[in-house]
Amino acid sequence: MTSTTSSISKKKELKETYLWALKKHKGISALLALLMFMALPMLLIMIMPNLKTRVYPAIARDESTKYFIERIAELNAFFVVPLILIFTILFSALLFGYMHQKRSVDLFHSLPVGRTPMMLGRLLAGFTLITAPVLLNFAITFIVGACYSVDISQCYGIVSYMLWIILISTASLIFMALMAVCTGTTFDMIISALGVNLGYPLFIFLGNYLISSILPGYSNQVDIGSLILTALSPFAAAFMPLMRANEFNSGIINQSFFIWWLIFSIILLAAAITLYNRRKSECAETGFAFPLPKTIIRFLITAVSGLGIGLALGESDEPINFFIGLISGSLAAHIVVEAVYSRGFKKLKKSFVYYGLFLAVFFVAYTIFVTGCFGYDIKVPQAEEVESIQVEGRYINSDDFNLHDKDGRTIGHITPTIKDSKNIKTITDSHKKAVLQKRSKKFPYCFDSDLLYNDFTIIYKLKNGKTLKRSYPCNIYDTQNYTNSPTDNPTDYNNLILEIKKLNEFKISGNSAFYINAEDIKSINTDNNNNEKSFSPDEKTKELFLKAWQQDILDGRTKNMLIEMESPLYYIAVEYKNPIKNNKLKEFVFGNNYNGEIYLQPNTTSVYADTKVSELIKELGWDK
Amino acid sequence: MIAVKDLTKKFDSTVALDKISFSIGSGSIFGLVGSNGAGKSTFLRTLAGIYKPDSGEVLLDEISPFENSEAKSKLFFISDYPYFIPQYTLSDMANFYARIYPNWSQKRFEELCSLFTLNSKSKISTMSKGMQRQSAIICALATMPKYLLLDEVFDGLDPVMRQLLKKIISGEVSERDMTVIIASHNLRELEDLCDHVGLFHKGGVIFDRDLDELKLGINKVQAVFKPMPALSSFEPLDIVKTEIRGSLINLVVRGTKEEILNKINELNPIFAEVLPLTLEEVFISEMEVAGYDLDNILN
Repeated sequence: MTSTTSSISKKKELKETYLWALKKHKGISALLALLMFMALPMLLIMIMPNLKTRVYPAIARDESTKYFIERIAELNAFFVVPLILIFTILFSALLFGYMHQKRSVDLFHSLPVGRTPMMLGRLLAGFTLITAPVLLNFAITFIVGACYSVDISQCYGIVSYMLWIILISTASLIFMALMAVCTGTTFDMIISALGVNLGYPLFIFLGNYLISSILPGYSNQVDIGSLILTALSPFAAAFMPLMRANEFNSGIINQSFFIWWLIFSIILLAAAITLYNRRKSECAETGFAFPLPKTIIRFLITAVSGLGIGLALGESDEPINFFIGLISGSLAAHIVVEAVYSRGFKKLKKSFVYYGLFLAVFFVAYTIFVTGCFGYDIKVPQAEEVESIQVEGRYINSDDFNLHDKDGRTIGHITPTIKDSKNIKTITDSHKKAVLQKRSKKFPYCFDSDLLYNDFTIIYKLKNGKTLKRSYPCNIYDTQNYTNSPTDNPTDYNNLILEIKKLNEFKISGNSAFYINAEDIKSINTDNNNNEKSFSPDEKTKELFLKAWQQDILDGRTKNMLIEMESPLYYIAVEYKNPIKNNKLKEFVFGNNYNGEIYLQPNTTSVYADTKVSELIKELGWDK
Repeated sequence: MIAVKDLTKKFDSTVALDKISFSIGSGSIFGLVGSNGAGKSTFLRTLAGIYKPDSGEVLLDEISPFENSEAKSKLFFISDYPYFIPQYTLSDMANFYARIYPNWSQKRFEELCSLFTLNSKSKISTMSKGMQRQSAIICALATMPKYLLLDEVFDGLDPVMRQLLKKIISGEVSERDMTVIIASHNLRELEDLCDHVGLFHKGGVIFDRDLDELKLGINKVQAVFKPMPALSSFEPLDIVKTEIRGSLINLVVRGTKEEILNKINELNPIFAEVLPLTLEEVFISEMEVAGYDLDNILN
């Protein structure tokens, strides 16, 4: 009975807190709605007529839809998300700032409202105050779209943008609430939130950069837009999937972002409520209620400044410059952070314990990486343990070999795959030789800017189900001087990739020419000094062409690693009949995991003198 | 009934309340007096459920108020600098409290507004310090609290408003059995209003007593002797403070008026009279005993 009464009371407290906060701040929510209207629907109203009347007069409905989605992605990234984040900070200061003044704490903590309903009620109000303008403006956006012949049924990408904005603004609000609970002043709350949001992505980026430039084979390089880069920084994360959505032109935000931020929001919420219940009211107007955020932020800022300046000075591959930069940058940052948080230098002396801790952590980590990270640098599986080897890289995988669905989304790639045991042995032997050669040159390792280039990646799929991945630089041709001649300054891994590329299995498995039949060819387009021609030959000619083309590939007489070896006679583009009916390709890329249709882009290549294709072109008279 | 048992509250290394224990009966007006930093405001905040005790407990009707909405709904705390929600009028504040306090009385609110002659539609931030305090008092009383906790409530109120406040509080206490705890340095006002006082010093309670009993139990003696007897002659008296100027001796002595006068007369004074102490004089005397006096501070 007591618990039922208590539960009813808590619900009432939550409801009253929610309604009060909603009423108190509804004006600001209305302002957000207005500004968001100006940033999204109003701009779309201005942009969409331009598309119809000036840019593309005869635009089709699907193109109009695509244009509409793309503009929304841009407007979201440049205007809507920053606006929402600014208002999230504003709302959090208004909703949780009471914790930071002794007088307001006297009022709110003496009210007959528990801390959990007080926190939840305010969070729910913040959620409503942000979400309502977002929903309203996206509804208007759909109406605008409908007025300009946009196919609304195809606009699931816009729905995903909207859901993303709602989710990340909620996560940001909860994150700010947690910061409010942990800090004693609103100033500290805001700088701490900004500190984590800037510090964490930079820390991951610079830490990754450091590892990449020291540890040979390191293959987990973080790219812009990856989840890990912004996993603890909602403000930074807010932009990432929007950018990636635009990049892939699919309009759909990566599900992993949704899942992670949903889980992380729940974790943040639990932490905020737990800590708020333990927070001492008397912490108002003091530095921190809980020391952990201060320690984390100071560590992040110290590390980021140290690594940033260290890496900037260490660009010349001089370790001493790196260390001078690291020490000076981190020390300066530590002093600044301590002075800001402690409002002076009184506690500076004591704080050097934490600086010492940072240096200790750094030097332990540094020692691990320069000594090969417990054998990571030389780890190559035994040939008999390997089921298959895939090779990826910027000189290996052409975009021509991307597989698409009917909407143009990239769904897979034709990746060269080695399954033959003899070939596997060749690769593992070459790989072992290369890593040991690298170690023999200089160990412990030091900065090597070449390592920052992940030109090719070897992925071992092991029989035990595990995967081993290593990435290396290569500069087989002197691309810097465009001489098309072998480089005078090869990396330690050039021989490895050359060995791999010699394998017929590599050539066959990585080129769409080997996955199609002659009847899959729609047309062959030639380009000879800008003299473009298109041919749709009969089936017999297609057979002849395909055979000649495949032989040239096996002979290594086609474009090698996407760099021209000599001046070509022609450029040709083989256009396929999409969707591809041949199931060989589908099976190779997806196994039995994909039942949809696949589409291939034209396969473009160069035709050199004295090749089978050049002879056939002459024979057919296509050169005239 | 408020029961305080071994209550301790620390702020880092500073002990604000050091194992204090006492109780306050229902329907009483309890004056909290003490030196600056004695722990009066800390005690009120702990009682209001704002601060969590580090050890010991404070109970309102046997319930700890910290994180207990049921206990908190029966009390109202007006801090030394009352806080109002920015941009709010008195009516807005009333609406705010009405949502939260189950016993909120709109009728009482309106009555009090007319008594204090405040415009409930004016923004509180534009009001004077005294009017802001009146606003806080109006809201507090409209919640119909069982326990009213007031910190320096007389600050900024003009003499007429002080009288009005005292009258209203006395009325509420007698009508509703409300318990009031007032922390104040204005001992003159407390003397008029309180029936009990507690003297705080350095986190401890020097005493808590019925005010009449307190005042009857300590007296000021003025006597003229020729010649002045040795100080040891006064030893039978429970002397708190002694001051001799020529043939005039001023004493602060514990005990009833009759007891003291009888003992003084035994020493054959030329003139002797026993006068009751004001609360302020009691405060100064007791604080001197605790080592908190001007001479000690100056030296």
